[in-house]
Amino acid sequence: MTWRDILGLSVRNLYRRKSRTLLTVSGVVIGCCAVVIMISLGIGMKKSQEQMLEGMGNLMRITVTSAPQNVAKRRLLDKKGVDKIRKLQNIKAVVPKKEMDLEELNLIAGDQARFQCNYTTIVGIPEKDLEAAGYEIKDGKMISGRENEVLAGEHLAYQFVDSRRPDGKNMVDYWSDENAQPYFPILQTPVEVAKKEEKAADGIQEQNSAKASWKGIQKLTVVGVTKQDFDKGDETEGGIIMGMRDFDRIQKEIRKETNIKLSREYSRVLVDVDDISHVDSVEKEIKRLGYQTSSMESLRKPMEESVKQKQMMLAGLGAVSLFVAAIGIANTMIMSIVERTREIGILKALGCSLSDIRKEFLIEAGMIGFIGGIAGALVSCGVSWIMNTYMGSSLTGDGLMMMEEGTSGAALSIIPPWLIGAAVLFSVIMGVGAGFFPSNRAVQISALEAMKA
Amino acid sequence: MEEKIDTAQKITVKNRAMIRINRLRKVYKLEDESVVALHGVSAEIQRGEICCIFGTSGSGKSTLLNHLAGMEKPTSGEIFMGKTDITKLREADMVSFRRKHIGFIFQAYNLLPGLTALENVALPMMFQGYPKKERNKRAEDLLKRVGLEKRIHHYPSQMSGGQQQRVGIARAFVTDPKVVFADEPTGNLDTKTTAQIMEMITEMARQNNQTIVLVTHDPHMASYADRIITLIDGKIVKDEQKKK
Repeated sequence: MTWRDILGLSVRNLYRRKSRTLLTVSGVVIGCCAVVIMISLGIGMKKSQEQMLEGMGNLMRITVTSAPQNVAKRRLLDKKGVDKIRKLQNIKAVVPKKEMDLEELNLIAGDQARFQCNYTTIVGIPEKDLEAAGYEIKDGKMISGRENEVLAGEHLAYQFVDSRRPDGKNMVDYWSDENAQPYFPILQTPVEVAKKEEKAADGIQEQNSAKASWKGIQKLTVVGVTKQDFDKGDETEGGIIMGMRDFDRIQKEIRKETNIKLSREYSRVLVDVDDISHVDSVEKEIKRLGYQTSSMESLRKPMEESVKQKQMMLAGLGAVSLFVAAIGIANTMIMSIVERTREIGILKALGCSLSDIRKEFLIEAGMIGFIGGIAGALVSCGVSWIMNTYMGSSLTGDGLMMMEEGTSGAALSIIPPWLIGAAVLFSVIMGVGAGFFPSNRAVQISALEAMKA
Repeated sequence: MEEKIDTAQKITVKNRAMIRINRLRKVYKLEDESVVALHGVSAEIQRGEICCIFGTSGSGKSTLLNHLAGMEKPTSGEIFMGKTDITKLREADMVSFRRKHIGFIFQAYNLLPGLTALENVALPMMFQGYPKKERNKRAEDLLKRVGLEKRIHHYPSQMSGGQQQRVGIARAFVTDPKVVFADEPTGNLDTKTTAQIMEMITEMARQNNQTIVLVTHDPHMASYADRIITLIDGKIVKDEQKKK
């Protein structure tokens, strides 16, 4: 018998016993639906957790700093060390950074040092890693490699004080006023790192006075303004970014004037891992190299575990109803075989091969699973939609996940395409499995049944 | 004495016998007694012969038929169909043997209720794996031959007993089997229909020189047969050959 013929016979037999087929199928629909909904809730839970974590920072980022002095295996976080990190597996990008606070130095700009900024951080990044650092240029262009070209953080320009205005009114309030403009266009204005020369001027307070004298240390050209993104680094807010060559030189210049420490070590190295599942292993590797690391992993891991547990619980609940459905299929098939004892005898008497008889019943059971699976998947999609529309996302439950409404935008129940496929496939397998015992019984029915008058 | 005749027959009719039953014995073991249904039955049925196995209820004729069709295994003895001893076949092989060589006409027609006349007739060919087009064409031919061209797409429940049995006949002959077993084929039919049915069976068989084994308790049926084997209490008591 060809597969098509067997399939045809199976369909006819199911159709002949419509009501019973329908009842059995609805059992599968409920079972399948229960499993899909439960799993979809688990996925929704996981998704909202992921979104929440992502809001808290880049999950695939490991920040490497040098270990404290008292760690025995401590290594210097220098060029050599970074090269070692670069050689690790599963790494997407490595961005070493040197940072330097200006401390008593100022940034000045404008005529006679009219605009002054007394606090900022300068970040140096090796020229070849600038791209990997992923700064987004909001205005202007990227550093091209010419000497003393720098990027300014998005709000650096607002940090400057206009020394010609009275105290309290000498800064631009860009927090409350969205349309605020800085006092001067930072892209067109040369900026200088300078040291204020303290003159003992007869007790007169000379701070913020244009008459104060400044000793210029280094002129800088701002060629671009970065978009603020704390994920890329705090310097995108109000710092200055430059190539490592410039940084090293400026640091030396500054050292002549102040007592800023010169260090061969990087302040921090940002390591981006290629996949979230590798964060843990890469982090361990880096630790083994003798550095201190931090990432979201320590936060993510336990949350993931707890979500996993909940998912298992939900799936288990669903599986129970699916199991009941499987028993239903087996029961229906046995009933059907008892009813069709004579028919099976006739099939055998007419020479229908045993394997074909077995196949027919397995296919019948599988079809019940298949139809139930498809219908179940469709119903699940409907139920999922209703839940998402009318119930909101509050089932996440965990104390950590109790975010304000709307912060976690993930739906309560998420049904990815694979889940539908898996549900249908699983229903079919379950049907065939449930049909196994009945089909064996069918095969054992004697051809003599056909001879009974 | 008996044994000698057996061997002699074996030699002389070596290849002509379609079915050769050799000292077939069947004992049913019940709880505290055993019932002997067949007492060492031996017979040969030739190719193209229309053979009637005649006997009353309990004579063992049905048991004999069940054994010939390979649905029961004997306590001892053998049954050769052509060169195959079917008593030695496993069930799966027996089913496949039936599929290839045997047709069946049942007393209760035994059409599948969910299939149309055409599909019922085509069923044995379906088991053999013929494509739909081919088997439907052949089934249609046969339905025409049994005079049911107008009932091709009817279901069994929409047909009279005689019509159903004609579908049954068409089904038995659709694969051109070497042997057709007919188990009280007219048991449920009136006399007029009985005659029609019997003529149809014998005519079909003679056209292709097919062997018919007809089991009945009705003496009238005997007139359609070439040969009548009478069974009483599991023994052949009479074996008469009619002159053609």
